[in-house]
Amino acid sequence: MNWINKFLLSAVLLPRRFYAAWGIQVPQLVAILTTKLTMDDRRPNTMQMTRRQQKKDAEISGATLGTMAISGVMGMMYLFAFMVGTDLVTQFTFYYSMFMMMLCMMLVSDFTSVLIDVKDNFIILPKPVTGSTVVAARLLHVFIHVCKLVVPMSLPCFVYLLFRTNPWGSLVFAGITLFATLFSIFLINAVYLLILRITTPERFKNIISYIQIAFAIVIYGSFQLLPRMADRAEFSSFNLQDKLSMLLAPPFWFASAFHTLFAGSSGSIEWVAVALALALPPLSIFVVVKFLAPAFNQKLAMISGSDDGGTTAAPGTSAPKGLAGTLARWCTQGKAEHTGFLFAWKMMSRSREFKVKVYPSIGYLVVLVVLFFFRNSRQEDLDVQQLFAGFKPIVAVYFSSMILLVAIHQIMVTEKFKAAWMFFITPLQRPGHLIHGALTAVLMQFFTAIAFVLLALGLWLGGTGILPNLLLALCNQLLITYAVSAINFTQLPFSQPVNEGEKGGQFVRGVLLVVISGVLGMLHFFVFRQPISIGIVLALSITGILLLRWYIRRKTWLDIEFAD
Amino acid sequence: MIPAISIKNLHKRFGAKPVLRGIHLDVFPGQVLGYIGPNGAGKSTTVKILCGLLSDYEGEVLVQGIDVRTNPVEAKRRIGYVPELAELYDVLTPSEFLHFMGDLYGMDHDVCERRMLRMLAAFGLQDNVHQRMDTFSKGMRQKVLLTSGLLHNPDILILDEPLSGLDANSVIIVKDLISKLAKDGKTIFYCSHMMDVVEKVSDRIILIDNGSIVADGSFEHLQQQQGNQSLEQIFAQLTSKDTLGQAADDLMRAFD
Repeated sequence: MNWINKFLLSAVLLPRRFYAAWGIQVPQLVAILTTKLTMDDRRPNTMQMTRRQQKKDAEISGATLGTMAISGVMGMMYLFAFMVGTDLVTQFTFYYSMFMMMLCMMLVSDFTSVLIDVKDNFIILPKPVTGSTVVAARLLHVFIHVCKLVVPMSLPCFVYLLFRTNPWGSLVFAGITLFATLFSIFLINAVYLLILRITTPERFKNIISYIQIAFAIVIYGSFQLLPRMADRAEFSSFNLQDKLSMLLAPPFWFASAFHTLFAGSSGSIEWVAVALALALPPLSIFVVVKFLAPAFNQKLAMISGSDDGGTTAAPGTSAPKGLAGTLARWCTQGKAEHTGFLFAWKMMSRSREFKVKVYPSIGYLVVLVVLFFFRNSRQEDLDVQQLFAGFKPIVAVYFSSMILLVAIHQIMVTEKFKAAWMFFITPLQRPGHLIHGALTAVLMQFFTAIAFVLLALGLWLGGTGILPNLLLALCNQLLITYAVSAINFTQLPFSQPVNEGEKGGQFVRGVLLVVISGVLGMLHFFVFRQPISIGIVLALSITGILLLRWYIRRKTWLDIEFAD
Repeated sequence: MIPAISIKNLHKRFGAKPVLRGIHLDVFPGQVLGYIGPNGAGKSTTVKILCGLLSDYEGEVLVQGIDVRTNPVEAKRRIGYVPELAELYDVLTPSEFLHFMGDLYGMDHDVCERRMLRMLAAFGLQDNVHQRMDTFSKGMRQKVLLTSGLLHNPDILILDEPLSGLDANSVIIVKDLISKLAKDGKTIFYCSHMMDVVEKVSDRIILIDNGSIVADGSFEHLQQQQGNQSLEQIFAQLTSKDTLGQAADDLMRAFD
């Protein structure tokens, strides 16, 4: 355990007598917390998941420090709140909105590994440990985890206030932030319980992943949009103070509490807000400890129950009917390709792991595209604007290649990669057919949707005149996808362990991909206004696609990289 | 003599589906109880209730006279549990994991250390004490789990498929250990699908099917009742609706 964890552990254990009076077994509490913290330090957290690909053999340690550094950077970004509005209450309302939202998001993701470690059911629960000890251990573990996020996250504002106001200001801020944090924990806990109440534990994890996806997109969007909004005039003159409806927004309570304690109160609404800010968090934590958490544990014990039946596939799946079956018949040649298509299609639609990794990138892209139009429509060099006139929807198409590339990367990896033995024992002559089938499934699921949206959007924004260019861009997007697959798709679908996705050569391949997309985009830009050239390039692009399809189909077992 | 485990009229349902339908069972110290039954018969549910993991059942479950529902902590103190799937926190080392287990049972650190080292050495893991378990084979994990169940020297040992993943030599060690623990007065509650092992290690066999006990007695007793057959055959006779030979025939006919 590192010194940060040690320090936090001894800090939360200070009220030992108080714990003991509540019927909590302190030695067991210490044991559980020590173990959990040790494990935290060896397990990559949500924010590090994406970087997990590096160093596959290195044992992960010091994950704590990484988390804290990232939180610190985020804390600096929240300082944008102080560019909004005219008064402290408005600014702090914005600050606490971002703060609490980000915290809730991080907690939702981390809770799946922290609170919902189903192994606890087998390891801790059969031991002579009281329910309240387990609950206390979970809560304190969450609290320590949250501290590691909150302290670096609030530090920039703490320092900022030290300069803008005085030490008292910073101190009040620290206190109020603690209350806001407690309240966030309560919120997440309540939401989790609510979900568990209305659904079966089996579906629970699915729902959590959708929440994660939605949160990731919202956060990404707000980080991109907020700074841009902040420099608009109406935002700097914004005022939330003395609005009755603001009492519904918890961030407003904490903002008011800061204002009142720091500068004295100014109105009755604010007093109500202060009362809520100071009374609700302790009360809500009491509710969590006394009522929510025990119920939560009870429900949690069922999550891994083998007795409560799994999800059954829709009847009639033995013969591939429906959309997937029809598409598979239309788009594939031969048995192996057909199989690859259906396999990939079903895995993509059902695998939680795949969705969590791919869907957010779609959301990010939407945000990026929106921003792209939003920014360029306001201020920019007129020359540049003229140069790019009409080309923007085309750039959006090139942007969207990212979704396909993420999907293609993710379709190769899975946590359950060992199940891929089935490909290796079957007399499959050319694995290329299987790969091509899977690739077709990816294109059908993602490219058709993207193409539809972009065509509609492009026609709406640029009229029918843009159609040839849109078609060329879409064809080029396919070309890029096929080119990347030809180079990168050297493994069978869902056959590689997650952390082996990035092998030595992959970085070079990544660079190559950027170069290919860049060159194609540039090429397109040069022929943008010449219909004949567009026709020629379009023909070339289609030829390229056909050649690459042929090449991918021809991949032999020698071209396939094996997992250990 | 107070039974080590006493189950009276135990009912449990998941939603509308009854899983246990009135189990009556007394297990005495020194007994090795083989608890067998087909998939979904209610074995795991019984084990979960015994270990205090499920409390919403009907009936009475006592462990050394202690009610598991009203005093689960005291009951758990007397039980050592080895779960079925090799569930452990595999980013920890065996030493860290086992000390954690010892702490949860409130064991003295030095006692825990001494026992742990001895037990791991007996299993041949002396060189792996400080390695993270994420690289361990299934058998190695199983040995650590067995150690964790024995560490606090419990009076009652609940083993759920304890031999899974173990090599032949380790199987011999564990089987030998079970009979020695029983001689020492411990109660062993042994759940398994491996009929030949159950036949050899248990001195009493409970066969449950569909949530009810369908056979109870020593292997010899069961043989007397059901004809001179192996446990596997007795199991099939009592739990399968159709003849199993028919199933094999059906499988063969599938080629036609």
